[in-house]
Amino acid sequence: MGTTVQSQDRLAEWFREWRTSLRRFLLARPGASAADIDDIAQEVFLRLLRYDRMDLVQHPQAYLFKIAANVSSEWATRASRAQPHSADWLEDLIDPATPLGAAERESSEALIRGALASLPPRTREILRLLHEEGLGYEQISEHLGLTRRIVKRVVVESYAALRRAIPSGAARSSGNRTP
Amino acid sequence: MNSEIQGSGRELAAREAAEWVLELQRGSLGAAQREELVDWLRESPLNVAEFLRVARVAQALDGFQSWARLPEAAANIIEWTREPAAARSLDSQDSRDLSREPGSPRGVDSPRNLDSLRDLGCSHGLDSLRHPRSFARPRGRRFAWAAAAGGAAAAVAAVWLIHSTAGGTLRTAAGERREVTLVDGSIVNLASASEIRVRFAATERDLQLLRGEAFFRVHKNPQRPFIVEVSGSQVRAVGTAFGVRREQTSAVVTVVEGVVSVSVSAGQAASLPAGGAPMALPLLLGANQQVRIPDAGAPPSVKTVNGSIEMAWTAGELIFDDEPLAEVVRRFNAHNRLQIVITDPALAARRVSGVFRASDPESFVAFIQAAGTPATQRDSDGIPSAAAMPAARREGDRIYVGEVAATAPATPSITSSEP
Repeated sequence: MGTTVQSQDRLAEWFREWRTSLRRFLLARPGASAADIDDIAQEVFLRLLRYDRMDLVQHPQAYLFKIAANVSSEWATRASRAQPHSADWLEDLIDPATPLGAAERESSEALIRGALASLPPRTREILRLLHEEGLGYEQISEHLGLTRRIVKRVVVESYAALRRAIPSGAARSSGNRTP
Repeated sequence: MNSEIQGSGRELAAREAAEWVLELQRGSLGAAQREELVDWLRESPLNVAEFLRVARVAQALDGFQSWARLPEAAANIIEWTREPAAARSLDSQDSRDLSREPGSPRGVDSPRNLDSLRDLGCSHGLDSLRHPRSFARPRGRRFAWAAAAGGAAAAVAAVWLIHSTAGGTLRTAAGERREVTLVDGSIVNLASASEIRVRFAATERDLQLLRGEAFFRVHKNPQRPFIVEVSGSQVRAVGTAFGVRREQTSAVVTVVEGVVSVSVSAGQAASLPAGGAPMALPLLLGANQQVRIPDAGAPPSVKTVNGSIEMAWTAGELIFDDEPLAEVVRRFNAHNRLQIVITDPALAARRVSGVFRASDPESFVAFIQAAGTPATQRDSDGIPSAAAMPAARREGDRIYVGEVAATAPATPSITSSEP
């Protein structure tokens, strides 16, 4: 039982670091366009179906990103994937981030800035509180005097809108910030 | 048609993905939630794809460092002033949601730069509406008037009859509103002049909306789908909250929570269903989506709405955000025996925002008269001069509002009997 709790804590921590594996997923296929994600997702989906459901339920997001990273790196290198079943592979996910060059960072920042500029100011403010201040949506709703439902809806809708506006390259700027 | 369904499927997947990502950002999930996430991911490649996309967005924003360089970063404040109406109605929604945990005490761990935002007045519901100075745009004036109308509304909403029923017909008279708990635990709110037929079987919960409008809060039971039939189309839900409305030439389905699937009948007959074979592809609607299905057989159209605002009538409120008076009056009339008639087309085209008691059309008429007065006919506090107000005249169950000459001899500004 103790290990489960510990592993849960570690996963929570991992999730805060999840950008790492995501970054890997993206770096493995630098040219990945928006359309490619559909293809990758198709393969990831098929693999998810092959796993035992109870295994997946242990660490769903970790499995998902690991599989996504595998699929995209396979696509890039055509190398065979390692079986992600031992507990060790979780360790691999928490690797130190590699800093990006200044030019690379600036160009991706500009992309995100452009995407954010298309959103209403109030939406941007909520996103800023969430991502820059690191507040939870409960805290945001409290500070802004809005209901959680509204804050949640604003975030959900802006994520859904931004997913089209932010090209895959832009996501690579992250991973440097420590929570 | 086909692309519309696919499009809405992707949008839905993206929204659900965003909810998961938001949930994951808060920390680790419980066992039940993890099961739900796995099942959701294994439901469709679309879900996987949108989850990856949204996760990437969250990741990109996490790493973003130029928040301060965004345009008009300080101008947000004005935008917030439009929120109170919605915030208030959603608050009352929240209080019904027992699963929600109470927030942490205000002020704990508050980051430095939030204090300025706190004084915006948007956390105080209607109070903030009474202080026009907090509104930097003309639009705020309308809210101020809405508050005045709301304050004048002494009428308390009627007491709703609650009982249990397994089958049969439920109906409301004009001006009546009812909340009924069905035997399965689902709750039905019936608007004015509405009628539903309930037929529960072991494997299915069948309902028909015969006329009017109803809101359903469905008790979850995957083994026993909850199906509402309206003008031959079927709305199918498992555990969710949605509204169904019959209008003169169409049926409207609005989802507040969860997902429903709508099977649009092929040959739309204005009256009843039995024959019309539903179309092969059901339309999936998520929270805050609304589909309008014209009786004439034109393709259904889906749009995004604020579901909670649309369904505010279940709490006795009507909420409008910048809508033409004609539409607002139509909604009022749907909920009351007393019918408002706007006789001045220019007045009918005026746009209205505010929160009103659904059961108090008289106060609303007073609001129209006040709001319909040109700014030049107001004193320095914005109070309209009585002589310049559009006239209102009551005849039986009708109130005519508009230009004096259009309906009656010149009797300025007379409202009907007191509530």
